[in-house]
Amino acid sequence: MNSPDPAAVAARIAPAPGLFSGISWPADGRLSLVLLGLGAVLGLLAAGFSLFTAKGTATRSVPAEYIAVVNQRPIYVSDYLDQLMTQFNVSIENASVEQRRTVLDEMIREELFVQRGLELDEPSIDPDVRNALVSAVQAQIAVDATSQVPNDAELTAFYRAHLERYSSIGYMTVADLIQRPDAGGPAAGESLTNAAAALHSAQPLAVVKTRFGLEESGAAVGEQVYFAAKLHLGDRLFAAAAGLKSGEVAGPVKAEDGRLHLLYMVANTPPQPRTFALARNEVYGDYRQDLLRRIRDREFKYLEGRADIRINRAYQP
Amino acid sequence: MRVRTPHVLLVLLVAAAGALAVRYLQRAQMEQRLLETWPESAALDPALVQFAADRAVPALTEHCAVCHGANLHGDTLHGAPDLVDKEWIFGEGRVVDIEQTINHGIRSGDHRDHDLADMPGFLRAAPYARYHIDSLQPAEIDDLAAFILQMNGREAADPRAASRGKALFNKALCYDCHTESAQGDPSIGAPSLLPHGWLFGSSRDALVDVISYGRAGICPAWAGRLPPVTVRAIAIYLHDRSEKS
Repeated sequence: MNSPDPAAVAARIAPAPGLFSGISWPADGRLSLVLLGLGAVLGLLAAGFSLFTAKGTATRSVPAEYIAVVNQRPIYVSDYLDQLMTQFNVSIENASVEQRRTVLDEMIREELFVQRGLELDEPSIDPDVRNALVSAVQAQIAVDATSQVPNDAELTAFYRAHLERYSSIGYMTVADLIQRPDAGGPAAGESLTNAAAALHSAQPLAVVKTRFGLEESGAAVGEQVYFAAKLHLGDRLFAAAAGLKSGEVAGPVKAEDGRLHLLYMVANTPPQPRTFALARNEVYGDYRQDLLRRIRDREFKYLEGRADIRINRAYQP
Repeated sequence: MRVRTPHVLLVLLVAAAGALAVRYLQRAQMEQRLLETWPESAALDPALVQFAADRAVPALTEHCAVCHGANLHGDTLHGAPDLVDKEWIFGEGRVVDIEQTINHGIRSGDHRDHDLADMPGFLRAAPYARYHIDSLQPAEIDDLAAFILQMNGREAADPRAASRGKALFNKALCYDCHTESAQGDPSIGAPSLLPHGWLFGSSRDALVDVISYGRAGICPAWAGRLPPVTVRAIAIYLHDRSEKS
């Protein structure tokens, strides 16, 4: 096999005459060294310019969704429009040049101060900034939780698991009877027991009150929701009343005031589970709170897990 | 002249790439126009409105239909309002109002969300978490419901109940949020109590439940989750449909 002619090979790889034909290139691979050095110098110049002047890396054009870019930090058009509405209650179409300039100047000023605050490490010094940051992070978690819209199957499962939360509030009309102070005859206990028997035998309440010298204590007048009835009657009487059906009687019961009472239930509507359809809004709110708590706990555990936390032995709790 | 197959394929490929590039550039240009045109002015530009509709519909289907319904007419089970009628619960229905609600949500936790008021639960021991309001008795709630139904042209079973309910409307501070004329207050998101404003259904049972146990609807904040151009497109699309409704 013949070896290729060296002169022919050299002719093939030689640069074509043209643009650089007048330049005499350094021989022996020095060209690559020169280019390398030139590149390094240019790179260092660009890096230095970028490092020492914020403008060095600035975007020349402002993207359409930003109204301004301050040291590479964007100010969103939507925030600017919100601010115009909040501050002057005008849409941009109706805002004066002065109003538009005022809002923009204030937003740029705020951005510059925020950036300066970070440079000064304000979060590690100022308790207000720290609190604001903590609440901002927690709020962001809440926003994340809200964006995860649960489907009805998830909400229904939550509703079933916490059915007691979604009961209606019960209400009752109860006559809380005590012996009148001026009533003669037998002792309160005996009188109330007899009155109870009379009510059991379906005698009208008004008749029984007159016949046995009773009056209403005045603690629970008219229709009362359960929590109000409990507050007004006290725990013992409420416990005795809550289980009564309309027309039933309980007592005599010794109440917290030391007196004997007779309870006659006029009407009782105990709590009932509200349907999922009616309770859905509340279920969603509770589901979200529950999710939020779990996400916050998870976030804290994650942060704690990746953090290097060392506690001074002298101050170990 | 002989045409070779590889050449034809190459030409077709270049033509397809060119068409895609033109389409991409046109789209990018429209996106930029949509963002740079002031919101209410953009809503008056038919080309931008059409572009907004093309961009908004898939996003609405993906993110909003789950609560507001596939046709965006709302859903009483979710308490999600109709997005394409003329009634706006928050704001006055301007593009910028709609955009703000989409960006920051309602009771979403976002610092700029709508979160100034809730509907109290008047049967509860503490009806309102934000400040003190007195509870109402069950009978009073029935009276209030009778009054509101009467306002909506529905006959109350007991006319005296509606009359008592009218007095309670003031006593329970209903007017404070819903206004004396019951037309609602869009600055705090209190819906109208007149027809079309009922978020949770128009039955008497639903009304009594709302007054008894309260409501506080939630809408997520989409800023940072949807691109600004999509948010603007949705706002313009909803504004347009609302105007045409």
